[in-house]
Amino acid sequence: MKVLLAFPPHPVPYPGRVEPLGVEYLAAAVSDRAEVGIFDGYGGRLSPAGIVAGAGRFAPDVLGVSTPHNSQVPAALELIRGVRRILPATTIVWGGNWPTFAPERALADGPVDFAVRHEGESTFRHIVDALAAGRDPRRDPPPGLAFRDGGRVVNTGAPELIADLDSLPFPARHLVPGYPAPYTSYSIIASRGCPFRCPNCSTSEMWLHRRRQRSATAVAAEIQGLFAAYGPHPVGFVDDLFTGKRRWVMELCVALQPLRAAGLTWHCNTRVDYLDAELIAAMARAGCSSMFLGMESASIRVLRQLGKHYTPAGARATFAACLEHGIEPNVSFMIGLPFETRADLEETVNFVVALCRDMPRVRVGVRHLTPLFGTRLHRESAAFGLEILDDDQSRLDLLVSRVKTRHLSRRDIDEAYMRMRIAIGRKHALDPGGA
Amino acid sequence: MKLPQVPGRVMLREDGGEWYAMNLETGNLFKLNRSAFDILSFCQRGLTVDEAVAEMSAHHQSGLDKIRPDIIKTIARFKEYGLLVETAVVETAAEGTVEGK
Repeated sequence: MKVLLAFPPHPVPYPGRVEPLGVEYLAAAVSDRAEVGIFDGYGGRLSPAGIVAGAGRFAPDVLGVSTPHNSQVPAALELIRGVRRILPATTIVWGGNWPTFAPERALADGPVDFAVRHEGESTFRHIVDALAAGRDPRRDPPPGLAFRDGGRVVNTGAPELIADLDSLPFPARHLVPGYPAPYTSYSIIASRGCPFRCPNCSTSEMWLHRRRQRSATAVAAEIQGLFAAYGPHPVGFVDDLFTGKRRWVMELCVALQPLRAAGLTWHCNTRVDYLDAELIAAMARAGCSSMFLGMESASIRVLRQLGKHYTPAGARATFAACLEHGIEPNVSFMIGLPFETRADLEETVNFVVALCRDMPRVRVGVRHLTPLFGTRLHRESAAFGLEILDDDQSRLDLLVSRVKTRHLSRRDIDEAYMRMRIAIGRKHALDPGGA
Repeated sequence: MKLPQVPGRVMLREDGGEWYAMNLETGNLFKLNRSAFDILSFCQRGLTVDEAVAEMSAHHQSGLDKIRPDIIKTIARFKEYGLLVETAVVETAAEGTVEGK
């Protein structure tokens, strides 16, 4: 049995090149029972045609395509169609955001045999095992699968999430050609999911609103193994809510301490209201050098609507604590939220202008609200008073306004965006090293 | 001859004595000097090349022979950045297609 896992390229430029952790986990899940290959179209700079050509040489029995970002969908469809043309007998499996939230579309748009929804390891292993045994995976299908059966689409519902993440083997990075050269950091996922139900977020829905974490010792062991195999390199924790459990973060920081001498530095993503001075200090001691914080708004009213329990003043104090400990806060704002009035937006603009002026070492980014497939904002846009002006899910770069809200015209949003971008640009000019 | 048009999704802004243009289709922000900003403003106002040259010369010491090629060169650069488009074919349901509007 030969399995090829492909990560299609996407057109949206991301800062740095992130390794395809999802397909590395899938590869690890089946590498004990199949010969497995990985093609990374993004980090490896492979076009869909290049992946198809490689697939032709590898001749897999199963092709697994992973698209965590909807911007990858056009490339995914191109390579799926290409592989189907040259390898008509290969079973094609597609996982990620689009197949999870639009399985019928995913199965209709391309010659796909199976759409894997939500967490994929168990479901994908079921498909590979069934095929290896000469069985049709559609008989006795597990939850988490969608497929065509005659003229209808069968959707088996959400899967059982893996209870013990430590039971998973480490990602099969050794199967990625040239690893780790194409990537700017080692990507590690120490916890999966987020319990919050922010209406603009699809990853929380992807993980079914549950947060699970690995043991601190397992995470440290994975990093230690990477350092031993490939040498020290910065680590990027790609968890949605890294500091979701304070005690666990403290344990992890202790477990990471021995790697500091080997040069460990790391980055993570979290929320302002899941940080405190003691935790920040512990994270800094363990090698944290930067963290991404989705602040979204400086209007307390909007923050409460989003379920975020901090104030703009409190957020500034948190940024100051990060800087004091040598951690660079990378703070993101989102404009065009459906509850945002002009007054709310003005508060955010003023906050960003002041932040850029007063704390130039804080990295600041502004994104346009983009209703992603799979989010409540997309499903219930009318109820939120949101008019989606451009719903091309393949063009979601967060740089362009695509909505009109009950309170804000597109021009209101554009003007606010431009003012914030000017403030950020001015900060870069004043402090190019710090921004 | 009319200057090219500033597309609807390009926004100009003076902010604290600095001049900016933003292409809202790409998210690209450009910081401009005053003369470049003025040229975009002329385009936005629908001036001809001759009118733009005349307005520029009223505010600058340079001669007309230098201002005209500077404007042409700057316009070419702005087109590359998507800040200007050639005078468009404007379509409306009521009037059909009107060229050079």
